[in-house]
Amino acid sequence: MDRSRNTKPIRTQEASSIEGEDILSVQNISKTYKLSGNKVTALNGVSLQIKRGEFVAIIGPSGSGKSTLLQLMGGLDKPTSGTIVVDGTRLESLSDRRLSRFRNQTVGFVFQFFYLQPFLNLSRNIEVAAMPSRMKKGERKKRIAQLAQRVGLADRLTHYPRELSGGQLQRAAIARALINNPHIIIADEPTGNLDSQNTQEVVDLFRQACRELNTTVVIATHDPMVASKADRTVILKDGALA
Amino acid sequence: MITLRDSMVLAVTKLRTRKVRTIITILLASMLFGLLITASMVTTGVFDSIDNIRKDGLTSQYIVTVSKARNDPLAVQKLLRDPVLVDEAKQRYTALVKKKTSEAERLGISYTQASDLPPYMQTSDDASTIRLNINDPNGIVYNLLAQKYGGQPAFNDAQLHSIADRYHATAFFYSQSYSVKQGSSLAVLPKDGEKFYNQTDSMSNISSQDSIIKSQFTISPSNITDYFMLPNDAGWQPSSGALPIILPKDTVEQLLGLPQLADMATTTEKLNYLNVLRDKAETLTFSACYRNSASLNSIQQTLQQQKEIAAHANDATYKKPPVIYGLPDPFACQSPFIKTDTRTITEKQADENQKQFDQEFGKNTTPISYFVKFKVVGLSPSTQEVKQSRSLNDVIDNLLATTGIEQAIPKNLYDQIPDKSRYNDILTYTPLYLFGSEDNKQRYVEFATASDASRFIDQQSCVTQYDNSCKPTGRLYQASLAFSNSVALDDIRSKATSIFQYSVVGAVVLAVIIMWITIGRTIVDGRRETAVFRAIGFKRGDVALVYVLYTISLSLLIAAVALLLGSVGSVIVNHIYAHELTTQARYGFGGLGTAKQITLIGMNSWQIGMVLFVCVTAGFLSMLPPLFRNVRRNPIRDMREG
Ligand SMILES: Nc1ncnc2c1ncn2[C@@H]1O[C@H](COP(=O)(O)OP(=O)(O)OP(=O)(O)O)[C@@H](O)[C@H]1O
Ligand SMILES: [Mg+2]
Repeated sequence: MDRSRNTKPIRTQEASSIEGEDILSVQNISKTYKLSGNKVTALNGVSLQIKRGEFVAIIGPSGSGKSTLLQLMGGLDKPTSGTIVVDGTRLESLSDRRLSRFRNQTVGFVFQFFYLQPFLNLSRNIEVAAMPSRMKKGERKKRIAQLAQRVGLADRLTHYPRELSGGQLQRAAIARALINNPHIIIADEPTGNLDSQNTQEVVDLFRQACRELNTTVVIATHDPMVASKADRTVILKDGALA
Repeated sequence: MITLRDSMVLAVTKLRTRKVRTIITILLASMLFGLLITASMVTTGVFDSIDNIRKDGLTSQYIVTVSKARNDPLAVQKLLRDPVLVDEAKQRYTALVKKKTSEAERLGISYTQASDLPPYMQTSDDASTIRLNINDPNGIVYNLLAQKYGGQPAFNDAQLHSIADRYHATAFFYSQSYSVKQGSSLAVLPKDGEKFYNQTDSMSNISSQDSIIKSQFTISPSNITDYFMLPNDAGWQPSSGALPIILPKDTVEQLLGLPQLADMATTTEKLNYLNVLRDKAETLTFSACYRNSASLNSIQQTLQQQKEIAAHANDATYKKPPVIYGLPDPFACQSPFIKTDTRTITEKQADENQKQFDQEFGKNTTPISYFVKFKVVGLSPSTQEVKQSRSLNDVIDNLLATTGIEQAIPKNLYDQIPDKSRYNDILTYTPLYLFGSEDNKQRYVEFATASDASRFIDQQSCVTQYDNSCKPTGRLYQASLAFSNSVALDDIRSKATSIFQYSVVGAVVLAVIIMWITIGRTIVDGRRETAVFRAIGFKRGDVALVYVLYTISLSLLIAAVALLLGSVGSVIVNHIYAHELTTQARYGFGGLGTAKQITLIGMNSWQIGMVLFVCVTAGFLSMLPPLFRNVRRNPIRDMREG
C-alpha cells in the first residue's frame, strides 16, 4: 500500500492533514459471479482504506477486478462477502431506496463510456443528477453554469450527446458527477477513450475537485500518466491487492 | 423521489426524441382507434337519424295487432260435421225444395232440385260423413250458424284491456274492415274500353280483373291514418260526395298514369318523383264503377250472345235469340240494354214469372251499376316495396317502411260524411258466425316500449303451426307487431352495438400488438437509460414514473389524434353518403313526407369514451411488463450490455 504513495506526497499530506480519517473502508470483500453454473471470482478478500480528499488510482491487468471493486464501493452492486463502510455507513445494510440516495448524494460516477442519456441535451444530462435530491431550480441553474464553465462546455449546453466529442462527453459526465457535491468521485477508466490532451484535461478536473472541494477521487485506469497524478496507487491482480 | 415536474420534463423530452418511431406509432394506433371512433359516430348517427325520422311516422310506435287465438285446429271441421246441424240443414233444404217446386208449378216455370245445390256435401276424406257447405247458395247454413252463435260476441274486449294493462298498454284502438258486396265488383274503368270487353271472357275475369283499387277497405282511426295524410286532407270536403281514401303509392301512380320509375333511378330521381306524385295526388279524384252480380252476369251473357251470333253469321238456318242485348258504353258504368226484343207476350210473361220466382227466393236479378267517387287524401307505402336487404339503402328503406296499411279510409273523415248509405254496397261486412258473432274489428294495442310490446307478444300470444294449431297452447291471442319495424331497429341497434364491442376487442388486440411493439420496444431499448438513471441515484419509482408519464403522454396523444382522425373520418363519410342516404330515407319513408336529414355524425360518448379508455389502457399494458423488468435489473449489467 505504501508503495503506491509515491507521487505527490504533498497533496496526500494536505488531504490527510485536513481530515485524516477514512472516508471509505473496504474490509475483506469478495465478489463471485455466477455465470451459467460457472463461478467467477472477481474479487477475493480485498481490504482497502481511503482517506477524505485522497486521490487514489487503481491499476492492474484487464480482468483483475478493478471495475468490480469500484462498483461495490459505489453501491452499484453488493459484495458476496465482506463489508464496505462509506462515510460511516455500511452499504450492505442499506435498502434499495437508501442505496439510490447514497449513489446520488455521496457518490459521483464517471464511466469509461460516459453513459450520458442520448435523448437529453448536455444541460439536462447534468441536471438529471440533481433531480433525486430535489435541488431548487435556481440552484440547479447556477450549478450547471458553474460546472459547465469549469469543464469548458459553457457554450455546448444545448447540444445533444451525439453532437459532441469523446472528451467533451467525458467532461460533461464529470460535471454531472459533481453537481451534488459528492464526497467521493468514482471513475472507471474515465480516460480510456480519450487522447492524451483530453486525458490531461480530465485528470486536471479530478485534481481540481480534490483540491478545491476536498473530494475523494477513486479512479481505475490503465494509463500510467493518470496513475502518476494520483496520491496513491493501488494494484489489483487476480482479484486481490498486489 | 424526483418531482412530478422533473419526471414530466424527462417524459416529454423522451417523447420528442425518436420522432419517426413515435410518429409512426401514433399514426398506426390512432388510425386504428380513429376507425373505431368513425364507426361509432357513423352508426350512432345513422340510428339516431332513423329514429328521429321515424318519429314523423308510425314506425316509431310499438303497436301490436291482436286477434283471438284458434286453439283447436279441428274446431271448424267438427262444427260443420255436427250431426244436429246437418240434420237441421237437411230438413230446411227439403222444405225449401218443396216450396220452390210448388211455387214453380204455380208460376208455370221449370225447376228441378238438381239445379239447386244442397247445403251439405260429402267430406273429401270419408264418403259416409256429411258436412255442411258453408258456401250454400240458399243461405241455409249461414242462417243456422247465425241462429246458433249470433248472440255471443266472439271477442272479449274487457279481458284484452285488463291483460294488456299488465304490460303498461298505452292505447287501444281498432280499424274495421269492409269489402265490396259479395259477387259484385268495383273497378276503375280502364282507358281502353275495347280491351276491357275483350278481356272479360269469363265471369271470374270480370270481378277480379285488374281493377287498380282493391275491393277491401279498412276504416281506420287517426292513430293509424294521421301519418299518411296529405296536407289539409288534400282539401276533401264532407259534402263533396267523394269517399276519402288513403292509397298505396303504386296505386296512385297507376291512377295518375305515371310511368313507372326505372329500377336504375338514382335516389334523387326517386325522391323528385315522389314529390311529383305527392303533388299530383293532392288533386286526385277518381271514380270506380260498382256492378252487382246481376249486372256482371248480364254483361257476361251479352258477350256470350254476341259471340254466338257472330259464329252463326253465315248460317241461314240459325235463329237469333228473341232478346238481343247491347253492351253499354265502356266508360259509362251501365248495364247492357235491350237492342231488339222479339218475344211474344207469353214469352215475356214466362220471363216475368221466372224473375218473380228468383226474387222470392233471394236471387238478385236487377242489374245495378253506378259510379262511386273517391278522393285521395293520403298516401301509404307501396305494398311490394319491402324487399330483401342487400345494401345499407335497403336496410334503411325497410327500417322506415310501414307495412300493413293499404286502402284505408280515415275514420275521422268518414264520420263527417252526411249520407253514408250511398256506400252500403261497397262497405259491407258479413260475419261467418263460426263460434260467435265475429266483428270486423282489427284490434290494436299500443305499448310505450319495445320490451313491453315484446313481452306481451311472447307471454300472451301463440303462433300458428303448420297443422293450424296455435302453440303454445292455451294462449288467448295471436299477436304481432303491426306496421312497424321498431323492434327490428332496436334489434339491429343492439346487434350493431355488440358488433362494435367485438371490434373494439379486435382493435384492442391489434393496438396492443402495435403498442407492445413500439412502446414496449422503446422501453426495452431504454434499458441502458434505466440503468444510467439508476446508477446516478434514481429510485425504482422515479424511473417508473418517468416511463409511466411517457406512456400516458403517448397514449393521450394517440387518443387525441384518434379522436381527430375519427371525427374527420365521420365528417368525410357524412359528406360522401349523407345526402344520398337522406334522399333514400325520405323515399323509403314512402308516401310520408319528412324534412329530416340523415347525418352520419353522432356522439355516443359511452362508446367513444370506451375507445379512448381502451387506447390508454393498451398503452399502459404494453409498457408495464418491460418497465417492470427494467427497473428490477442490475443497472451495471444493463449499462454493459446496452
Ligand atoms: N457481471 C459479471 N458477470 C460475470 N462475470 C463478471 C461480471 N463482471 C465482471 N466479471 C468477471 O470478473 C472479473 C473481473 O472483471 P472486471 O470487469 O472487474 O475487471 P477489470 O479489472 O475492470 O478489467 P478491465 O481492465 O478489462 O476493465 C473478470 O474475470 C470478469 O470476467
Ligand atoms: Mg474494467
